[in-house]
Amino acid sequence: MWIRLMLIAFFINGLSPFGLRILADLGLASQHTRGYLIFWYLSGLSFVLVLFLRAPRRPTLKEILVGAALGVFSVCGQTFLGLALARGLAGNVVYPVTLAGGLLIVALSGVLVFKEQIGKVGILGISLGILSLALLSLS
Amino acid sequence: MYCAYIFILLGLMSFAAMGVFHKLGDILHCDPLHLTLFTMGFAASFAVINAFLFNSYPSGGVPGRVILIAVPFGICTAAGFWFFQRGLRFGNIATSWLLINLSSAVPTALSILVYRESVNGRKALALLLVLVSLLLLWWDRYRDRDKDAKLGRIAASPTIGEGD
Repeated sequence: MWIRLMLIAFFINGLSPFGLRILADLGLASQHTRGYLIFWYLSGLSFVLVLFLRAPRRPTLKEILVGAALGVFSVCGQTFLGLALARGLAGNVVYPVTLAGGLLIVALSGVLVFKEQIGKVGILGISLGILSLALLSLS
Repeated sequence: MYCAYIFILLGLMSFAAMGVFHKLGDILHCDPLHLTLFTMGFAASFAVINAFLFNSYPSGGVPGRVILIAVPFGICTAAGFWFFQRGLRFGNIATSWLLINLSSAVPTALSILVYRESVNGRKALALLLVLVSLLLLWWDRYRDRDKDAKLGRIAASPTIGEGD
């Protein structure tokens, strides 16, 4: 079940930034990225809202708090990334550090804080994954 | 330049915090759909506030074709988030977070296929490593499941007692 759901998430989530590439190709990215992001989030919200209204169940306070934290960190991450780039740091430093570094912190917290067990093959997979992410963001 | 390093550190911590909060959502038995709803809701609110507060948007409004592009890809983002949170019930955050981050290979591959972008050695190696990494994660998960089956356990997150 894990691999099936994660592969669906992998492809669908991977598709989502491609809209910005289309926007850039049409020459609209420099002027309309912020407007694009507003409608990007709003359409995602509308989609989930439709699913939610099909079988509404009262959300709990912890769901609201965790959801809010995820939303805040998502926007903060993007904003700080943009600010680091705007202050003169090169993209080939900013992207590998934030992607690969963030991944390493999450993997370590999974093992150390949440006591998850990862086999040798998994550790090798994570190491190669971090390396490939660093290479992808460099290229 | 010193400020830039502070921002990069804050960006890194924000992305790492997202992974941790996804796991917390799982541990606290949060409904994946509700989490997606509030995450998208708060992110949309911040995006709107950001655009209007800093007056960074051109007065002409958003062209229709920008909205047309944004809608399907926004739906993809919400659906991807939802499937990720559902899948997290059955696996580790360390490997799940890696897998979702590796999905940045998808737009790279699409750009090569659709826009005929050039493939240099580094990009080809990165895409190959993504594939190898995915195979290793699948193999690790498969071995785990096999081991659990032999021990008579269910290969799922210890925080979850339900099926999906």
